[in-house]
Amino acid sequence: MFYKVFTNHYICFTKHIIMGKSSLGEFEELTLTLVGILGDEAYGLAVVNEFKSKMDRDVNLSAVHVTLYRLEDKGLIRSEMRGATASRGGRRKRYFTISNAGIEVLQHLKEQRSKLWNLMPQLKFSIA
Amino acid sequence: MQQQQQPSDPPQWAMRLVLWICPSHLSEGVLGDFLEQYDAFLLSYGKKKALQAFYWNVLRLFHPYLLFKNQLNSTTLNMGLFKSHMRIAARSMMQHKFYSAINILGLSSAIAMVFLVASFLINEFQYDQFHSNKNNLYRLDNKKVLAKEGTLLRASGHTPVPLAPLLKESLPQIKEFCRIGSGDGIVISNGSNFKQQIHFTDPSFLTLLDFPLVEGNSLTALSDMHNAVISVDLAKKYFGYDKALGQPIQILLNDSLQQFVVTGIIDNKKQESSIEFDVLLPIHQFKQLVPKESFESLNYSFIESFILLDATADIQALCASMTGIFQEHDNSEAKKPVVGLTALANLYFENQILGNTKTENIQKLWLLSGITLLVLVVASINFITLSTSHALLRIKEIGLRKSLGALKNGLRIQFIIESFLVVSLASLSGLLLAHPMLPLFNAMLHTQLEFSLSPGILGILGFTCISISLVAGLIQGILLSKADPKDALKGKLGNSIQGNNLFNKSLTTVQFALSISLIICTLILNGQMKYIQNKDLGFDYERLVGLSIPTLENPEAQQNFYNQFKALSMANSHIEKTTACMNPIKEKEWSLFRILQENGEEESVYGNLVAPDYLSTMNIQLLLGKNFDKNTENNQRSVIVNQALLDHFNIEDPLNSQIPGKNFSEPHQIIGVVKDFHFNSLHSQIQPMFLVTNLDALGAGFTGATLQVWPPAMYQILVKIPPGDATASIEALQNTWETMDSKEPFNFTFADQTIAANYENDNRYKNITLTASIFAIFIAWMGLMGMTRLYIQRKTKEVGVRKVLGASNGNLSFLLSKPFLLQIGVATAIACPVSLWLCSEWLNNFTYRIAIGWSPFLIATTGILLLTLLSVGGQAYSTATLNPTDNIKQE
Repeated sequence: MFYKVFTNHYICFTKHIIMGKSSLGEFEELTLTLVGILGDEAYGLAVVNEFKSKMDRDVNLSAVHVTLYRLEDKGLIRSEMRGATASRGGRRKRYFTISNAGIEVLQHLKEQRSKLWNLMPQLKFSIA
Repeated sequence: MQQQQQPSDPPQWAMRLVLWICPSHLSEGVLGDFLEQYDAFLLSYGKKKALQAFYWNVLRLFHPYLLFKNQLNSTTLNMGLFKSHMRIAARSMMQHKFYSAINILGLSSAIAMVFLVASFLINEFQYDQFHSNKNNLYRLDNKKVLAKEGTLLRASGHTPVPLAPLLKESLPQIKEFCRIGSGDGIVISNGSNFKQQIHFTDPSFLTLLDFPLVEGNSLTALSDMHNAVISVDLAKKYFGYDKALGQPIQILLNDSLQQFVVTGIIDNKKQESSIEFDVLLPIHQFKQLVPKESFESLNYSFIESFILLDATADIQALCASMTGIFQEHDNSEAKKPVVGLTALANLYFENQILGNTKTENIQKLWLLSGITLLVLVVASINFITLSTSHALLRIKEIGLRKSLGALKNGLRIQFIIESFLVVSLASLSGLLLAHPMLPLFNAMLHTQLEFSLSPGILGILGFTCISISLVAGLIQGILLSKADPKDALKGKLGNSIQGNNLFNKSLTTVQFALSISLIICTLILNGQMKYIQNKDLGFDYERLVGLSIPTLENPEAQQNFYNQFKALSMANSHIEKTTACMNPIKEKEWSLFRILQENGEEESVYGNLVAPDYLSTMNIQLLLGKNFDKNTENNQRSVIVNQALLDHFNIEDPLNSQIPGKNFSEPHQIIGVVKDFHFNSLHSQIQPMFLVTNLDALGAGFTGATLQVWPPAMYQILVKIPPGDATASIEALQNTWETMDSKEPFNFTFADQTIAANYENDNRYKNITLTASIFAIFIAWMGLMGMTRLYIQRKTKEVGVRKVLGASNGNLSFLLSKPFLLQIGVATAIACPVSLWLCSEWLNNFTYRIAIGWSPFLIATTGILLLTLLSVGGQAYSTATLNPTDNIKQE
């Protein structure tokens, strides 16, 4: 029962994000982007490794997991279980793929950024 | 899917923890990722690093997002059931008002006490904590050890005046120092004189310590010889509020009248401080009070020195190098000085090495917290036994819940919620109770605590509440949720609940044992205090008035002051006898003189300089020989000693012997031996002592002395006043005083009050222990009442049947009281040896102590027995006298 209430709440929340009334946190945004980059191969540990290789940033696996589940609740990514390997004691992985809503949010954020960037007074270099 | 556990895998418990925290649909993916990362780390960084990362991952799983979704919470946080639990709890409280009242009353008084004691303890532990330098600022301790053996002779917080500057010069770790000395002066304001304790210090006092300076500049306030910094209280007293800055102030130091300007006003009472002062003057003014040679020498220790150290300084090494420097400048051979350090943060609880600062014995604080804990335990036992036996009445409800599908865990949670409700109500009423009790508590402990709900106190209260309700709720839940629904519905108690009876009985026995031991200990403690305070001190201190002789230019002047006073008071009928002495009666220890012996060792003997009629005024019994004779010249070399001195030195024929010593150049004569009297505190044995009318009698024999006053001279006039109205005598004394030519204001003390003040601290703690014990016994008694009532309720039907079969009322009352008598028996058997051991340990601290007799044990046991019989028997009797037809019908 609780769960549903929360999910509903988050669906509304997604609309807020798109409408520009609220925004994703920095870490959430990066995670979402990395899930998008990884395509079909995005699961918890892969995102952590991607953080390390692309951004040279050490992030905690649990923190990534919690963020992924949150993004899923907000409807920005979807998940499925597959691909068990021996090193995981035969456990399956939870793979995430970015949803249309997720792409929309990222797009929206990027546009907003560039709008702001354009408003910034450009530095002018001149040779005296 | 679970694989065999490999030796290199992370421990099972950690994996189980992951499964426990994670909501079930997420756990597979999470744990899989954890293990995959673990394996990767194991290969590249090794086992230790991999494990660390794994644990860190697990720890980071404690995230509100996951916790709120996990399966554990779906049961506990079920709002609907929670509400229903609360409603049932409230209903059952309302239905059984008697038990709820006992529970809440007992718990709330215990919580009120926890609140009061916690406020007090927090206040005590805040002493000196407001100084930002508290951990880098140290007081120098001055110890004396025997040069050969290294045994500690004595330790004090007093150091020589030049020591701190000398140490700072040679040790770079010492960044700054500040010395504080104290003495008496007379402040002259608006034509009247006030005797005032004055502290002398370095200008750095204001920058090293964080006393809030209300007015003035902390950098310059003490920089000039004629600057004075005073406390807010004193500023108000002499000048009126905020008019003091820049005002001139006259202070009489010894015989020289000095002009000062008030350059700073300090709010010294804002935070608790062990350094107390009212007037601060530059340290060089201290020269007016003490002889110049002692101000500049390393041989006289009478001020406290504080040093500010580098945060990186090695304390051990520094102490060693400071000791080295001090010993270089010290020329005594038998003893060596050793320097130690006490951090300002710990100064308040340092009660072995004493200086001028205020200290508290931390053991007393532990005693207080122990007693509070005891009261809390008694109240919690009440709560547990009452609610479990009370819940037996609700066994049907539990059976019903179970048959409707309630889980064990759910039932347990219900009980925890119920007890939490009771405890929260109790803490609220406890706080309401504590508010009016605070002034009483303050009066008892001589504190000025204010009612405040600081985070610390709230934390302590919250912790107490949660732990009581968890323990009580869990115990109830475990015992009751075991019940077989089939039996429970019928109202029968299954086997498991029979066991609960035993559990409850043992808790009640513990309570009896606690109450009995408390009574025994309180009686013995009271007896000892009474004994000490009424013990014959060996001299008569009734109707004895002390007047202090002002410090004049030399000892002879002080002697003359006394002679003049005596001559003036001779004729007055309101004054019976007059004498004078060097060491004031019972304020501090007497002066200790050290005498070098033939074998090179030193013996310490207490001594006092007295006027010839000292013995008769004090009413000290002379056993042998004669008293000082004021008319003979022989007084100059006469000595009177006590029995302890004869025993110590094995003197057989005192009147033809001398006090043994190597350096006595001229012979002195022991002219009399007095019966031992208690010149020092009763905490210590009577030590060897001598009385002289002229210190030259032994002069050359002394190798050193610990003097409470300087220089040696008469400092106190003792007057015996006739029985009857003391006011007339005091008036007569004041008139006589005012005819004397002295700037010293007339100040008098009654010796019996001074002596009583010595025991004031002991009395404070005695009172609070007594109150707390009565409190605990009262709470336990309330619990007993509740228990009996429940017990008898269960037995009502049985009583009816027995009565029909011919049992008498007396018989039945005895039958109902019997189980309680057995418990008291067991409790006595436990309590007596335990309290006997505790009390004899405590009494060992006293030199003069009472013998533990039978009476406290007898009084405690019979007292508890009578109380129980009255409360149990009374209720049993009223049940027994009921009409059996009503009883049997009861179902």
